[in-house]
Amino acid sequence: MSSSAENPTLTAEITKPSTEIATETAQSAKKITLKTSDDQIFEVEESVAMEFATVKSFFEDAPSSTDTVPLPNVPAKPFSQVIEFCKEQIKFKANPDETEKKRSNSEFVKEKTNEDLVEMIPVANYLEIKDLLDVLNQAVADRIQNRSVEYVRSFFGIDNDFTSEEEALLREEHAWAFEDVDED
Amino acid sequence: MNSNIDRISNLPSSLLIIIASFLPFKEAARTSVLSKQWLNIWRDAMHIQFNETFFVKSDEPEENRKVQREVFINFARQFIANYSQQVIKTLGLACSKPGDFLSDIQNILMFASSRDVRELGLDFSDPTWREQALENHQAAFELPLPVYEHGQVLRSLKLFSCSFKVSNFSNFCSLKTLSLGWIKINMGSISAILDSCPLLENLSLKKCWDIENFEISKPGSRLKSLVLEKCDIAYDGVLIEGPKASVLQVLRKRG
Repeated sequence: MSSSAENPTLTAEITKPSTEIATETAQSAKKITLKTSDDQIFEVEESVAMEFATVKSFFEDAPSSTDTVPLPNVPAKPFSQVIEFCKEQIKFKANPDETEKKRSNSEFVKEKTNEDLVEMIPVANYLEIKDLLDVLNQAVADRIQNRSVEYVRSFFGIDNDFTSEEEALLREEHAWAFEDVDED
Repeated sequence: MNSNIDRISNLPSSLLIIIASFLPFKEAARTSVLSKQWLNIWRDAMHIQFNETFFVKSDEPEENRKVQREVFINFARQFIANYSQQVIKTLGLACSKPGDFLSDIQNILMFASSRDVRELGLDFSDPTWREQALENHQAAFELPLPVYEHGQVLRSLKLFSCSFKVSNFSNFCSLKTLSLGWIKINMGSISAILDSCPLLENLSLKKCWDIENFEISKPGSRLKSLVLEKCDIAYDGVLIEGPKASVLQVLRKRG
């Protein structure tokens, strides 16, 4: 993990050492400035920013814009992880290698906490990064598979708003789905 | 930032449907008890499995199984009646007595085809049939026309104890994976299928009979994997030639 102080692509405002940004940043590459919902400024290489379909269409509408792009639905923490993913992804654009890409994707999610994954989903959705959304959803599905209802609730941080009677009724109604489950 | 509140429940239901769609069907159904927001999310999941064995207990007498099968079909009937998405990805249907529910099964297939299903799996074989036995069983159901008519988007097709018209396979022009089982099929038909489906990469035949000598020599074929399992053929008569022959696998699982 590199700290953000050494990190040429983030401004000094970002202090969390949560990103592992590639170091081979070309000095000449055009940068796009993006502002998150919690008012953090990110300078991102154009090639990376164009991975965000939402941002891409912003520049298609205003090609010469040098304005900061506001991302009102995107907090900084998941966003820095999304950038990390996209930086990896663009390497495979020049040099497609499905096996290596899969390995890289699984490496990416392996290091993430449950909370990281869950927080990145709406960001990937808002920025319309389909590959990332698929990777995240699959990782979430893998982590909650064969787990008890209670586990899944805590995984997502869901408050159970059913009464115990309501829940018992539902379990009875869908009894077929609860057979052969190891409640952990 | 308030991060210890109910994070994912802040997500729109459309995103929860996508999350649920990555789960196996049974698992998706269990999300209904998570919270009120999740209650009906699974009913729009895009991977659907109508599997008789979820409902029918094989160790019970046929009398009970008949009732359980009714409950199963009724469940499927309700499910498709309430489904609101325009597109589904997967539909699996396993039912051992399709003859008792012909119109329901037609409806389920119509439902899947009209929603551009990508992966369709139909298994009408009976769990009581013995894989090792020499006896063959008549196909229990015939693939209906709507499946061919909407077949252009189909990527994967599994037909067990389900007869079909080889001449209509040209509609399945995007098919990559085909799995046939419990069916009488000759080598001429298999060749015709390979000609009709130029993108086919994976072919698997299980418990098929009447093939006699298995012979593929298609220079343009994309076939990468071939599985012959418990088929009634002379394995010495297997011949495969083609540009990708080096990656062809013939698995001979015998009793």
